[in-house]
Amino acid sequence: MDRSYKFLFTGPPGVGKTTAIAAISDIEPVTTEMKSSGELANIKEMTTTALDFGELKLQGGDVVRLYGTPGQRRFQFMWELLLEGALGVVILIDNMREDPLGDLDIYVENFSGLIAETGAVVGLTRSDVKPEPGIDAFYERLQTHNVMLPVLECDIRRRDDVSLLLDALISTIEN
Amino acid sequence: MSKRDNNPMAEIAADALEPLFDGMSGLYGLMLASADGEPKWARLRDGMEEDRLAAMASSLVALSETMAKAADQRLSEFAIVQNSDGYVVSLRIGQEYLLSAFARRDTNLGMLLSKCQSAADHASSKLS
Repeated sequence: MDRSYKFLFTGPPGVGKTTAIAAISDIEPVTTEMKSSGELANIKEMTTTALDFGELKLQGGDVVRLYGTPGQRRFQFMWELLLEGALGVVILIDNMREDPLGDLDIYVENFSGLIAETGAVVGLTRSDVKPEPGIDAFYERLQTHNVMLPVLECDIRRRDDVSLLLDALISTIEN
Repeated sequence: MSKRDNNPMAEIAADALEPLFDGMSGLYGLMLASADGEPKWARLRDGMEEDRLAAMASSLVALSETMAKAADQRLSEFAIVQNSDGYVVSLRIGQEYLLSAFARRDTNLGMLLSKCQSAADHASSKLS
């Protein structure tokens, strides 16, 4: 019987969770976007307020189900709903944001249960445009949370980069 | 010039939302929020969390519209949650706002939907 695996994509608003799932999904992704307001409206017109969903079909028939969370903290109830049954989480961090290390803190803390039980990987975006803080700073910050996770620079618009994040996540879980 | 002359939200509250809230006996909560879940105005029973409910209304409407689209349906009018204790009704006010109403089970649903739509239409005319 074919098996299915559930992975989450999370991270701050505008980091590219919807884009990442669209880049790798084998089906047309499900999106739930509403018009942005406040400061976020300066960055992007629409924002996810419920979930994103995509599927990746593996050789042999197994299926990876990919769920994206809303980014804003007020949607924490959705994070908790989407956590159920998840095998791991991809935390996307945008290095162009004001406090990328602070963003990392938020998502590592909020997904600490899942990280402890299974695994996670950090995808660092736009570090080519703004190199600081560097990857070492992220590893140091993760140590303050007593977790050791892979941190990979990526362009989430590229399927290969998203695939690499998932491969790293699966390796983390298998270990 | 009164304060409400240059504050459309105050005008909407005074002209449409407060009369709706005060005029329906079964209604125990009414809230206007941005489409992406920031509360803008609310009359809620003690213990109801405005921030949380505004975000949930955004998720509810977004998911409802996505589900309707997946079923080849368009132009969502209301997202209605009917449960053992009453009703939760959310509807759009244009592209940028949502109106949500929370009512007891003995409320006439048709009347609730009609009055919410009227209030939303009024708000829409002031916000456009």
